Amino acid sequence: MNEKIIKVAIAGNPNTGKTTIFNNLTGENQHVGNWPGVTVEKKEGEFYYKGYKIILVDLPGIYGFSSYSLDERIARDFLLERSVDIILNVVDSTNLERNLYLNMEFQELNIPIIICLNMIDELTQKNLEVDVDILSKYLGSVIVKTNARNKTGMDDLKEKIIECVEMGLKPGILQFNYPEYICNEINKIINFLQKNTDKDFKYPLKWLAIEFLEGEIDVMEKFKNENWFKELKEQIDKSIKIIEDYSGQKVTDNIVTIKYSFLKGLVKEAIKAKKIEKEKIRIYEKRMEYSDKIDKIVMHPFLGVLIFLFVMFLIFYLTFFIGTPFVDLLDKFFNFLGEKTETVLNKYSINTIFISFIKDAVIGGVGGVIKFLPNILILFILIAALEDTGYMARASVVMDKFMHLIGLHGKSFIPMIIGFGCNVPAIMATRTLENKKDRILTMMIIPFMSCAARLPIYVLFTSLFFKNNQAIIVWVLYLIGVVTGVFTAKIAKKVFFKKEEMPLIIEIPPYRLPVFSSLLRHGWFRGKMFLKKAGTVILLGTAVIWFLASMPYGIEYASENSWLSIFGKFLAPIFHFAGFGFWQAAVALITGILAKEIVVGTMTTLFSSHSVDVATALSYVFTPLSAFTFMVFSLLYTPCLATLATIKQEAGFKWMLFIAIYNFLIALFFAIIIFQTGKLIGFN
Amino acid sequence: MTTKLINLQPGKEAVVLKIEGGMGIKRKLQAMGIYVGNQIKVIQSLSRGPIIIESGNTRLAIGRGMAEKIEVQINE
Repeated sequence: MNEKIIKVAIAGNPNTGKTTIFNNLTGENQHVGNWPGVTVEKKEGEFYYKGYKIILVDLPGIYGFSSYSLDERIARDFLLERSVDIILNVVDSTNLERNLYLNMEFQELNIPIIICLNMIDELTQKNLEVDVDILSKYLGSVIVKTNARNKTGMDDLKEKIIECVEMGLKPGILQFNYPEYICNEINKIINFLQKNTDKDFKYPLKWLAIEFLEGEIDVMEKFKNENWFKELKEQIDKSIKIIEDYSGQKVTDNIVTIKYSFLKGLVKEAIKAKKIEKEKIRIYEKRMEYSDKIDKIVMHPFLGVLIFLFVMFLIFYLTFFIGTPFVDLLDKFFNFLGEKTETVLNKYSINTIFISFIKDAVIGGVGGVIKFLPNILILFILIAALEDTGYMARASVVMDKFMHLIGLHGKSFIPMIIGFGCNVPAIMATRTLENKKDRILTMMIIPFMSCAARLPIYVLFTSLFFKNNQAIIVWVLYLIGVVTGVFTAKIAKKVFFKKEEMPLIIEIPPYRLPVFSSLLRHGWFRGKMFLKKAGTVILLGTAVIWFLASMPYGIEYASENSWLSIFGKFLAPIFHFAGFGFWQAAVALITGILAKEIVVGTMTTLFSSHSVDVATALSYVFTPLSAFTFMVFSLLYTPCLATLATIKQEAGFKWMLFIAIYNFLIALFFAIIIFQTGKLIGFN
Repeated sequence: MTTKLINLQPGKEAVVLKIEGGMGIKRKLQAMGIYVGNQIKVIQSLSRGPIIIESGNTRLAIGRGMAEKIEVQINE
């Protein structure tokens, strides 16, 4: 059957619930955040309705179409390519003026728009009502009221999408016009473009003309090589002068004022107080009062920092406190599975090499990594909760002054925190930053943010050597990572970038209770990726290690004579002064570049062959001090391949290479310093 | 009275008169609701760290550097 396809782009300001609507409609696993710009990857999903296949694209949250940040450029260029049938503009009902400003920008693209008045419940709480007919009449768009958090209005939304298509996908007509003196100049430029060029502009000409008048450099640059560019520039300058003389304002100021006064009038018309219910208003005001009181403490320059450090500690504490019993259970399960498999396979007198492969490489290596899934799930869910409650934006405000010390501002802080979950999305999240310098500096810091994949290493070692202060040691490790990152950025800024600072501008969203199901969905999404990695890269890594440890044929598994040992012994001297100059450690670290989880996988594979269990084997070769330096090294050294590939994609090969080498050296340097100092002081 | 945004005390309301700075940042602020002629209110302003303002229903944190470039007229 030939199905009809409708392509819909979900767009709108940050924090309006775009992603929740996307999830509601498609059931796709995706995450909603409460800080500006969580949707940095282009996410697609689809659903079927009344014989149509509707493809949804979740665009990053934007405020306008400036070329100011990469996110805005991504969204703008995507919509300009005209590859969508409908824009679904998700709007925060309590903040119509600003949200509809973006809608006016959309309207200039000549694409049909459905406006989704989301969070309509919050408007009701304020005892206000919105007149949909007035809005729709003046904006020329279809309007749907929704509350994405409890899935209200979703069917209506689907219905309206179909309606929009069956009406022939006509762009709405906005009841708004620029005053004559601006219209004239817009027309002059459109005429020029039509007459003097035979170019097939992909963009709507009116939109182009306005961008030119506002002096949007990024758009102008696209045409600077055309032979008519100089003449066009003259026309633009003339037009700008006419408008400025007439209005006494800069063109952008003038245009913005005109648009906002239209919106102000419209919103005043459309939003009315319901019959007065004092009780309701009081409840709402109380809530705002509390929110302000909380903010006074949370964003206090001194208390705020303490609260932040405490929150981070709490996250790591909970990760262990809740997670570890489950990890132990999984551990027992995999041990049991390994032994049972061995007995069963032995019964059928299957080749011992094969048995060793199943037991040591597959069950031992991969199971040894998978068992940390509970820790990883909890960590991701907690970080997502930080975003969804609105705390993350506040933390960036608090941390702004520290970030200034290293030449960045508070916004870089958000990717850093995401880095605690996984470095890959963290590096992508740098796209919300405004300039390239900030992006690269932040990318240099992120690998030092200890990701969830490194957590198993700490769990393994702290449970053996620091049983009584696990959470504290891990917290200290995370701090070492942050300090190293900061130190790196500080130096990098001096060496690579001259003084060039971008100001911080960030929205502080209202506090909201996170939707529990959405947190779980996010955690499970990341957990699935972790399991997938365990079944692919990690399995491959442990299989290769198992192979090298079993060769040449006939030796005892992972013994001194194995190929792996020869390779490891060649590298081990590098780590001698850091306290772990034995070949198993060298092999584990080198293979860990494939994926950090492999470090533990390798350790488990290599040590489980002995007649003792991993824990006992490790305590033979490591002391608490060298275990600590090993963890420090694992934390800091060369990031995993996936992270390196993302850095290459976002910043280029040179930066990737630099980060790979620099991080290895700095890790070695710190590990040696700590080990040698520790020994001098008398630690063991 | 006109002054810079950075000099406003918490609780004060003012109208934006002028925004200095590049095109990009200006458009960003405009889209976020900070534009010439608009009413704003200072929520928090300390000796260090960003200044927090309210415009309509939006709360924004603005770095001190930027707050020095925004000229405002204080409401009487």
